[in-house]
Amino acid sequence: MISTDPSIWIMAFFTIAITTLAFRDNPAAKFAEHTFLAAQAGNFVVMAWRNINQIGISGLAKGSIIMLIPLLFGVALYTRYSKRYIWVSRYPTALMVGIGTGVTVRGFVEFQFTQQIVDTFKPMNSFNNVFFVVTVVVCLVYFVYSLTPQNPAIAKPLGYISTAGRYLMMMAFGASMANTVITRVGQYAGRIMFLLYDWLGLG
Amino acid sequence: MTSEDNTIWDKLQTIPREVLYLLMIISMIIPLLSPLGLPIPISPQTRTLYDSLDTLQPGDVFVQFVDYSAGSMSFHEPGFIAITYKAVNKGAKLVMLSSSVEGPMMYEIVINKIKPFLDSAGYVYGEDYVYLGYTAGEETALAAIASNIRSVYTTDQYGTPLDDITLMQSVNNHEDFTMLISYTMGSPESFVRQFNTQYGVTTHIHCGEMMTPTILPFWASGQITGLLNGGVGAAEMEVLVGRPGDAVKLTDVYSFSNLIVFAFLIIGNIGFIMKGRMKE
Repeated sequence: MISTDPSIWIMAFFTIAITTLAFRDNPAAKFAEHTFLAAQAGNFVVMAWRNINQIGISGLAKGSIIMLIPLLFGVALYTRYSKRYIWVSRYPTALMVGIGTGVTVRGFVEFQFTQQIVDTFKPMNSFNNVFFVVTVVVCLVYFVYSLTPQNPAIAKPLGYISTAGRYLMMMAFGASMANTVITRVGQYAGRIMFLLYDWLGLG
Repeated sequence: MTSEDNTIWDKLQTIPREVLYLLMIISMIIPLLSPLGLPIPISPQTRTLYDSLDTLQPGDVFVQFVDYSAGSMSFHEPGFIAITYKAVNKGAKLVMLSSSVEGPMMYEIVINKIKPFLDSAGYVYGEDYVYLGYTAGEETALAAIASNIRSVYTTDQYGTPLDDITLMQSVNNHEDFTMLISYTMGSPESFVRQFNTQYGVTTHIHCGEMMTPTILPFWASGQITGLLNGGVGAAEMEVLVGRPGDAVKLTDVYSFSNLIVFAFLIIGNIGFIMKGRMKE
């Protein structure tokens, strides 16, 4: 049975309104788009304020003087809007970039470099492992630009390997693209389920 | 456009996108109204996650990062429900938090859906499960949570100081986490970097399908223990825990709508090849 809950009807309206954008730009789609952005921005401000209040201001109220530093740095970010004092905002920005980089880099080498290289050395005891190692080598050959052998006996097979590397990478990119399509289908299917089951009561 | 550019082969390559969208929507509606019930094979990534959850002991702390947004709710929510069901059946304590701004909204929606189950399992808020809310800072915040959760959270989502929450009295840093999972459409790598690479915490990821090819090498190398691949992974988990739900319905949608995409790929390519032959 069709829902009698007004909030469900509002959600259904916005779902349908934003869907119409796929067919033609129209005022209903624009209204839904702007409402979504406004709600998102509002939520962001509330969450940010809650965070500042919970950690910074309440911490300061409890006597944690050190909380003054991040609070002042936060306020200093707003000097970006003054041509005269814009230099002040560079200090908190530099601090944020510095901390962010430091935190990311500390695990980066092991996480994305050494452990991945170690995992490339697989026992050649299954088709998957052999295919994996061959793919790694062939793709690496594709990226060897500095080596251009003049001897056709070497250059020709190297060219074939390089082409194979390109095709294998294309297969990987194709898989990524297909996964992107399926993700979008999954995301929109959630809205269709809402319309069918929650709004129209067909489930 | 000349008459030479208006052949049947040109038309096959320039089918209006509205037609494709309409057919896609229809292809989603049909399997939702009359499910196909196609079999769902279990992938090794989902199997390792399930097996890892199976090792949870009563009292273990299972940390769940509710980091998805409304956009990916259709597959993250069923995944969250199935995994929580398994963890609760094993008697694990649930510490839930968010590093994405929409997390608290998503938590409120999903917790209302599983509240009857938590109640029936005798789970009490504050003793067996807790939600700490959102914290800003992304990867920096994750690093801080791993080293000292109290440097980031002083209260839970509802304002109760952490020290007054029974469950949180024994949870301070990564040493107290048995395992963790992130339901995310953001950067799953940051969770692995800050918890697994730094401290060796067993880390699971439930991400969108589009991120799986990027994150899969980290599962193959053992840096990620379990990996749920979007809606397909959520459906596999629902099957494994014996509670088929919305994600299982989604897999029918995937199968059906992919047929449309395949058909249009073939049609477009036929047009492209035949047009090329005509020019020759």
